[in-house]
Amino acid sequence: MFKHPDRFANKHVRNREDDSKPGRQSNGKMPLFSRLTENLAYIKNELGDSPDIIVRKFEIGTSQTAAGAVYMDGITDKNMVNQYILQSLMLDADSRHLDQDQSVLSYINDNALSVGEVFILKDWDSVILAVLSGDTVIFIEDTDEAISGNTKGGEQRTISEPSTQVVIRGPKDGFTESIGTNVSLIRRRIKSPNVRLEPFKIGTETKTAVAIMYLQGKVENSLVQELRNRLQHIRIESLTGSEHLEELIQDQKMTPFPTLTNTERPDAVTNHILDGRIVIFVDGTPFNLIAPITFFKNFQSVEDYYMRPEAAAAIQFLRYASLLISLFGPSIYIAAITFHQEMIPTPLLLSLAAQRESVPFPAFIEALMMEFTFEILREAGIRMPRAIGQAVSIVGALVLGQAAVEAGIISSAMVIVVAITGISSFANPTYSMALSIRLIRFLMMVAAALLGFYGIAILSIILIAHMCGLTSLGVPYMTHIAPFVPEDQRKTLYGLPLTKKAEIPQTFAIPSENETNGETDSSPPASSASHTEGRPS
Amino acid sequence: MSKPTAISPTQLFAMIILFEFGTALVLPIGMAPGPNVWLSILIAMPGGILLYLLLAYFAKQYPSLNLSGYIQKIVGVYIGWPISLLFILIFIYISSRNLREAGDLLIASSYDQTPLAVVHAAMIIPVIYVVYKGVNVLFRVGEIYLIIMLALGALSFIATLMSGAIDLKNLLPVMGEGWIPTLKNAYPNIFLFPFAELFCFATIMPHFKQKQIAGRTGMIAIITSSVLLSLTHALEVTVVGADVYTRATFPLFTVISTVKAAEFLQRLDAIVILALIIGVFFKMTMYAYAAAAIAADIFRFAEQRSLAYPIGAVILLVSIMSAWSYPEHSTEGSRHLLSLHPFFMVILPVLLLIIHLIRKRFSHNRPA
Repeated sequence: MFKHPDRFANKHVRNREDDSKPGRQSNGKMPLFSRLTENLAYIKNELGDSPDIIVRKFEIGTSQTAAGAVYMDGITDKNMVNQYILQSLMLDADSRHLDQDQSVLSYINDNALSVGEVFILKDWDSVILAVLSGDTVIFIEDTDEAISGNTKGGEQRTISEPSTQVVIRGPKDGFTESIGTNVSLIRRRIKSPNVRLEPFKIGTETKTAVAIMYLQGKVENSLVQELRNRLQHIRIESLTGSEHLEELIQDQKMTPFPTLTNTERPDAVTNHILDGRIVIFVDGTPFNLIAPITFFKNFQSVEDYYMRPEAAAAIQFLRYASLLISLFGPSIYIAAITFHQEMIPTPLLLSLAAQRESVPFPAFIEALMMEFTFEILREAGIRMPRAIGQAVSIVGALVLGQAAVEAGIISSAMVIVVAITGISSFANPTYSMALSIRLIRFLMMVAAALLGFYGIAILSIILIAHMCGLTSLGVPYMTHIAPFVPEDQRKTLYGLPLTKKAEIPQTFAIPSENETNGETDSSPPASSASHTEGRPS
Repeated sequence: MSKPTAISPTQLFAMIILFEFGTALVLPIGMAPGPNVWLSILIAMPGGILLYLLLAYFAKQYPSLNLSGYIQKIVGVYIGWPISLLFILIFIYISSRNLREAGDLLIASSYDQTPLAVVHAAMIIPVIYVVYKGVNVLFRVGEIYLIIMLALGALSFIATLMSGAIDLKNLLPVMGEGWIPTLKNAYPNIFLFPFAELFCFATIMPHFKQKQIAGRTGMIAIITSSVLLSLTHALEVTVVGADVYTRATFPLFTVISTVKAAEFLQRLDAIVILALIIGVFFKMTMYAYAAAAIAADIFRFAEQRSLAYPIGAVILLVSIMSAWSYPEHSTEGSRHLLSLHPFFMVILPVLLLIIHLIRKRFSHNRPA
């Protein structure tokens, strides 16, 4: 199965070439030569006479027709090339069947080549692309067409447990770097004929295979169309990962918030597809994009699906609480210490004042220093080799924290605040969201230092207004709450876990807001019913 | 991004409630705040509903037109244009008054070292930002903040209940001075502020697509908000007593300062401040938006969002320069409440309705 994981991507590439061939040839696409030696020489030259290009000349069967096979070492499956291409052409082909009205090419195509996918190529662009994607291309003497067989293979990472999104109870497989494998992982989970897969090729140099997958009937067509448009309008030289693609297709560029999410878990993608979202696979990365998402989706983990509903709801609540702590923790401390001492209960205030007596800095500077140190430690911990990394962060934090308090530079309350803030930001299941919260936390601290709670309130209004202005594939980012979707709320209340029942299909019925009213009223029951049925139990 | 702008009924509901809360939640309302304010609010409510229905009726008659649009349709461009211009000024002025009230409470409560201009400037930034972002964002923010506001309200209500500071006897005697003061406080005072102020929603009605339920949604929102307002003011009287309530500059603040529950919730002042900031923000932004919408309409601006900057700047300046002190601001407020408010928010709309009905009748008789 995994010998040819790229089959899907390859097919798409080929199909597109075939579709556009007549037009492109008249557009000045360079046709093949008819002489074999010229063809072989040209392709070698075109690929810079690279040592990993293998050119094999031979004669077809017992006939005297000369032919040449070209493939690239390393990305082809050697066994396939030997067994299904060279052997079948050189030994098994029986030229007695080769009558006069049939060309050698169509004979090979119909009778001799025992590979699954075979295409006839007419211009150099498609030949070179085929060779570079791991196919074997066969040129035949006196023929200005070539034939390609799918022999993709070579070394690939096997499916292993995802390293970034760990769950306690749930499937252990994760996506790999191969788009074909990734698609197959989803195909195996959703055996529905309604699953649609649409291929794209992005990047003039990298020609990266990109595919969108969705469940027909669950997704509003306008959403799919919008995504198609965006993908088709990307003009770029190289696409090296889904982060890059995310940047290219997101709705608003000027925002710290991720408006597309990514996952390396096939079970998460499956749930997203069944909930009516679109998945964007990118070849070469295990992280695949999901759109459209809402802000609240970032606080759900696929783990929620594997827990008891009550526990899942409680844990989600916990995540929102940790969001608030990691966003407001240090700034509330700064505001309370600097502007609103009267709000702190007196005994606590006394103990805080005693601690701060020896501290020479204002609370803001103190907090900034500690937060900054914490961020450095965290970054160092990630980049260091695994064995040292943890030691660095733990020892660094303990030693620095304790020493700073004892030296009277920092109050111990501040260490607690920074620590709880840091831990809270780890509780966020979406890494990219946690990153933006980290950034905004510093802004909050500045606002708190300038104007106390008033500053925090003002910045929060701006922040919420900013989030309300965001859209993900045209769907408002704060959907569920703003615009408020009563249907979803009801599901939230009746079936407790937010992840299980309060999913977004309802919301997606409002792609453009001017259609919202009136029409949604009639559609909800039907779509919500089909939604629950479609879920695997 | 050019997006179709449409407001959902929930959003309208949320915004009306937030708008009504505005400063009315924190400030004493009515000219002569007495222990019966809670009753006056309920008595003034029907007037507010009628006025709202009037603007919902206009919205139905002229579905795609702004306030200035139908003023010009009804009385003609030559009278309608200057009236619309005056509306811009009125809206900017009220917006700046709201800002001043918030700024003064903030300074009185915990920012006595901070200059007024800084407090005001900080507040105007989100206003400009949201007006710039457009009506859709404004109303979405409203939905989120309604939830926050209700949560804050519930928290302080429970804390007040638990603190045991409530003494229902403080509410008695109900109407100890007879019907007249209570009624007088309701009409015109409370009717004008905050109910008549809803008239600025006329400028967002073109964005509300389900015109047939505009009236119903607004009515439910007005009833909800007046019941909550009435409850709050009644609660204030029960906690601090009629005497203190009448004299306090910011009664809710005084009330919350006295609440001590469970050794833990000691100082809920921040909640009042937060409620005030939120309320004032929405009220100001609504007015600023209304001013921008009318200005864009009568001066034929294609890009309404760019008006957010000048209007924000003017609001900021007016808020700082209109009065030297809070008492002066307050006195001026009662003067304008009895002169400008009735004319622009009540008399003018009723006149418009009459002229509109006459014209309609007239044109019906004519074979079209």
